[in-house]
Amino acid sequence: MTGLQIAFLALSAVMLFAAWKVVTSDIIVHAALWMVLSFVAVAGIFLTLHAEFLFAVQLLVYAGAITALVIFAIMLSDIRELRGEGEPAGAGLGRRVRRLVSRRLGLAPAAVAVGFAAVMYSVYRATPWPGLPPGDPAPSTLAIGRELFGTYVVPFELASIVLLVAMVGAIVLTLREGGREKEEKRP
Amino acid sequence: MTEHAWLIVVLPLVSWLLISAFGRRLKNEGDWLGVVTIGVTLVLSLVVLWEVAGGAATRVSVPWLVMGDWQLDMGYLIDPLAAVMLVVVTAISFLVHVYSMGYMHGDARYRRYFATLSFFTFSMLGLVVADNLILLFFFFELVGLASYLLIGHWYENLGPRLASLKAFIVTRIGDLAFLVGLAVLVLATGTTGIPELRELVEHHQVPATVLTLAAILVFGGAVGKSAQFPLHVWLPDAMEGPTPVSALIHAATMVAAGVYLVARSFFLFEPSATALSVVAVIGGITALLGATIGVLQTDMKRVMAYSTVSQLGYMMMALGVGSLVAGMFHLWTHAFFKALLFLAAGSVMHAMHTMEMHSMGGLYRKMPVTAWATIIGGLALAGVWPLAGFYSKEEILNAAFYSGVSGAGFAFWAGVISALLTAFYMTRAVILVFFGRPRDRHRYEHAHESPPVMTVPLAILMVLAVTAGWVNAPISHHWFGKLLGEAEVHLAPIVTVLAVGATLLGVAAGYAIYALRLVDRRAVINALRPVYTLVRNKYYFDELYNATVLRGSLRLAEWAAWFDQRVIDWLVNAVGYVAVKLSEAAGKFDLSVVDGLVNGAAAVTVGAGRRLRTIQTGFVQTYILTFFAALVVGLVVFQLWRL
Amino acid sequence: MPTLPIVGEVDTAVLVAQLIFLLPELILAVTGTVIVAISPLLRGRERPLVFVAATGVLAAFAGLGPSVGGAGEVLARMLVLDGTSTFFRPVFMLGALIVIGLSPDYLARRQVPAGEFYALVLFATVGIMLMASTHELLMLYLGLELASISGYVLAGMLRSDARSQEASIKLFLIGAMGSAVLLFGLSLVYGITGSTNLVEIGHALTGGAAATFRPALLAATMFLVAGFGFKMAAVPFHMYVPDAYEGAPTPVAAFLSVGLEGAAFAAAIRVFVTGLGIIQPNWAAVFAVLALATMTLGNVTALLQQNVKRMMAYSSIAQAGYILVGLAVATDRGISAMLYYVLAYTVMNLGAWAALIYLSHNGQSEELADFAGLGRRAPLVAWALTFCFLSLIGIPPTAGFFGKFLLFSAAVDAGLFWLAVAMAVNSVISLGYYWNVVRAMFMEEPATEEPLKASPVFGLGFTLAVLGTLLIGLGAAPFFRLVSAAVVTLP
Repeated sequence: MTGLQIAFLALSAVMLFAAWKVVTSDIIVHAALWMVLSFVAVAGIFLTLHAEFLFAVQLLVYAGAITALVIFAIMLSDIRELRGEGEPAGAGLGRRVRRLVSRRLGLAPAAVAVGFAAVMYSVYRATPWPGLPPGDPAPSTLAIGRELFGTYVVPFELASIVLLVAMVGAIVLTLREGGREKEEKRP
Repeated sequence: MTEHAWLIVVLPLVSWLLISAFGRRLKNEGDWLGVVTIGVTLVLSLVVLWEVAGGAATRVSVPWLVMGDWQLDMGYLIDPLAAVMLVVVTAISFLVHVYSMGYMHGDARYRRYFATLSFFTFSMLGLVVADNLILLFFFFELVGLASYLLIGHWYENLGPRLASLKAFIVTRIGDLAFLVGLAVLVLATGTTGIPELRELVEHHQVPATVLTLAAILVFGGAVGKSAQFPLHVWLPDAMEGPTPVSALIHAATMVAAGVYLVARSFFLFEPSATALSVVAVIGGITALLGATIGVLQTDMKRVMAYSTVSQLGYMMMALGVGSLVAGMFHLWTHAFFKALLFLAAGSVMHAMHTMEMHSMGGLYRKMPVTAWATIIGGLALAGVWPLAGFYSKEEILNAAFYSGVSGAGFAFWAGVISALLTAFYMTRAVILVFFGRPRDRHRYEHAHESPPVMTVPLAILMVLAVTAGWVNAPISHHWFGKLLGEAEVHLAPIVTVLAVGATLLGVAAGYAIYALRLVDRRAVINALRPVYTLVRNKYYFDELYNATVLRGSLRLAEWAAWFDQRVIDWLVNAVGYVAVKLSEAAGKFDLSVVDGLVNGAAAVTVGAGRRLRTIQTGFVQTYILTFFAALVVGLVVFQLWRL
Repeated sequence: MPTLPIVGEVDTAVLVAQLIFLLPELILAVTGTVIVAISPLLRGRERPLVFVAATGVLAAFAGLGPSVGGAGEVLARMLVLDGTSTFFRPVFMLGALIVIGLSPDYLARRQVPAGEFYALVLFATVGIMLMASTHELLMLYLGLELASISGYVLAGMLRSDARSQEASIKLFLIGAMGSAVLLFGLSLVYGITGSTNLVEIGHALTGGAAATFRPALLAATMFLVAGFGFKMAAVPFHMYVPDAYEGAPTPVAAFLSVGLEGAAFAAAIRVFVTGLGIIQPNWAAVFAVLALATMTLGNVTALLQQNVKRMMAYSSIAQAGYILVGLAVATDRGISAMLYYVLAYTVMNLGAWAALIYLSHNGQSEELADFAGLGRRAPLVAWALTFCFLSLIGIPPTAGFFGKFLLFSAAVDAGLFWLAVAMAVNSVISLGYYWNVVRAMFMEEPATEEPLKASPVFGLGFTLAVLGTLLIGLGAAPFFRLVSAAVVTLP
């Protein structure tokens, strides 16, 4: 086993654990911080695969910008704990037992996840993959830039419209305006 | 005129549109417009028949839809069969229009009634002249739609509402078979044009099994529309509509459509002994079924309705034993005497405001024209010489007698027994309604003969009910049969003897029981109690369908809704339940938490915040979990499934 | 004129010149942006925006001009001009135009921000049009996201209504998951073939490659079926649909039910037929099962609904089941029947939703009881709705009949007799719930005699939908030619 493979496995383990903690943390800020860890681990995986550009983007955009945005959103809202009606509260053995079978945290999701992983693992193993996709094995930033503003310029611009829509959506769904926001009873 | 036969179809359509759009501003809400239009189409139809009898025929067809190698044409085909049918439809429709001016006078939706009547006629005429089966199917559906509207005309009452829906749905079950049959034909032959199909079949270009399958499926459409066993249940309920509409439906339009369909596509049936047998046996069963139920009905219109079921069985039977002429001839004569009987019943209804025969009696003195109409109609229906029904019934029985189709023997005896029963129940109805002492004094005092606008159509129909059969009798050298292409007529004396004997026996039995009271009918009923109960309840068909089809589909719907909405809840509850059991075991048990857990996603919450929290923790998570579990299973199955 | 540089392998001058083929989408996007920009300046008097939006769509129709008759891949292979895109682009614009026409009264009454509404409808239309006219997986995915995200926002636009919020969040969470699953499938396909262009993918899979990569290819297919299944509202991926449609503003539900579903079908045709045509028996079998489950569950569950909006949600599930028959058959006939049905479905379904919008902006809710006596209070609307229902049931000579008939005969032709029969049986079942509404309209007494009102713009939109249903049925010939020409052929 090479050093790279060991690094890959270790980073994957960290990513999976962090992802699991994102879903199971009751306190939402904790969940956000675990998310940072999982993003960083993904960035590391990109590095082991020689995708330096993606590594940089992952760190800057996901671990940096998006996480900051999420934490801002949490601070601005009044949600502190992520536990709904159906979730077990309290402490001690009973709570742990109940958590074990709950929908969000318990055995059933774990079983499905393991089953999914097993199926996909066997699929990956059974398929003779065609090696690397054609093209530069380690594309430089310049090459990516050329592609992005050459071949893929139309999707690139389309992505900007998607962002515009997301922005308009965020505003329209959260904006409180005196005139418009009258409480209206349904007829 | 024959080349311009499309006018006959288009005129009622125009009348429908005009009455719908401008009826409010027209004199008498535009009823005269409908009457005049149908009158003109009647004249045109007679001209067409005259020309066709002289050897004219026409086929006009234009491409309508083209898709790849597949083409649908639109056109009309005028041949003797269509010409005869055109006359039947327009004649009955015209008389019903006139009669309706009196019967429906003062109705709240008078305009709509006349508009829909025009639409009904239009649909039926379109069906008659259609030159390909898909176009025919269009009009077949439109006829169903129009009859739905007319049966449900008095929709304020529950009865018409249910009856109209029943008619629509039950006939659509038959249409479904027709549609599948059409698909089979299109795929086997690539065409739906009637002359083209006939050509292919006559040159043996279509495999026999395909032909049999297609014929039986097409017959399915006829079973629905023509109220054949086992889809006959809608027709008696259709009585809930206005009586002139019943006359139209029973005589010339809705139910005739099915028989006409079989006649039109008869070339599909002819080469297939199996298909013919199916038609003959279903026809025979229907004839018996209708006749036996008719014997025990006490509602005058229902007697007529079941007699229609029975007579439609006759027509199918005739077609099934291989005689197109006999079937169409009976359709022709039946149209006149059945329209007469219904319009007469309407006249009684108009006077008595009830249809219950046991509260009538003695009406002959009050309404002689109506009484004579019923008597003549009844005699024609029973098949008494020399009225219309005699000739057509004799023709059918002879056809069955000489036929080599298997099942023809059954059909023959079913026909003879039905003839007996028909004669019996018509005698019974006439005696109960028009003779004897009045049983309901109050209603009797207020009864009166109907106005001329209603009695004149009755008079015309009386003449026709007597004479309509002569077109295919020795006196006219069997003009009708020759027109439709029948070479020779065999008449066996034994058949005539049997038919006349059965009729006379029926009349005599009816007269003996209801007029002379030689036999106490209570005693007969008591002697045959189980049979009586069975037949009185119409063989429990409605109950059977309610219990199986209706309840079944409701169950299915409930189950599906339950599955759709409750499985998720159930999963949540199950998880909760397991959690409770586990915590009990653990000795730590917090009741309030458990309650929340169990109610889970199903809890109805107030306010957006709480609502959103339910969604986040309940429905969506469980759903996504279920989805991924299913996906895992799906992936495995898909890998193992060799295709 | 300065010469444009060549970037990567792309000649920029050619690219710019070919932008003319993207004119409809550009016009729509610009119109949307302009509306977003000017709507705050109108200070609540947003009614005229409907004309801006409608003008934008009409201009986009005109912008189709250069693309008509074109063939081949343009814009660095990002856009494909062929029969299918020539067919779907105007169909989706027609849908958007009708929805825009139906909306203003509703928006005013329910205090939905009109500017953002129109803009998002236009953006979503750009997305669905691109989904139908590209061979590039990246474009397809971005188009899908553009349409879906617009949809999430549109669904939540009744800000004071908890049910609308719920609809939005459900759509978002489940939609996002659907997109993720789809993306996973696409990435597997890319991994196997090394291409994101569907034509290239199709080529790469020929010559035994499909057998070699079979396990991964089958897994990818399953993910793609599930991913598209969510957007098509196919059973068992439909569970969010009734809640989402019931809670969303009615015009939005109408738009989602025709626009997003239609686009999912268009994109699925491209992906499965063009890209994965070689393993057609595999995915066709799955679609056959989905079609049966979808139409049956949709129709049967709709029977029990008392809320007509919810009933229409189930009805659109059922209709999706009919359309799926096209994919289950996957012959030329099946695909062209499917295209025709999408067109018919667009107009007839919008016509039916229009009646709901109409009631709603007159202050009624969408319970069955609110339809009582509509035949008296608003005869035109009641008759039009009846007509659209007849079409949805499939009674001749409406567009819906031809659509069902084509799908039906395509299924029989392909030997899927059981599916054809199931379709016919389902159409009889559907009679039950559609007719329930018709009966209420014509055969029950209204609670009040107060006549209902609508603005001329609404009338125009409604007329467009109903006339469409009539014309596409009675004058089906040119449309048949159109869909026959638009077929994507199996390799």
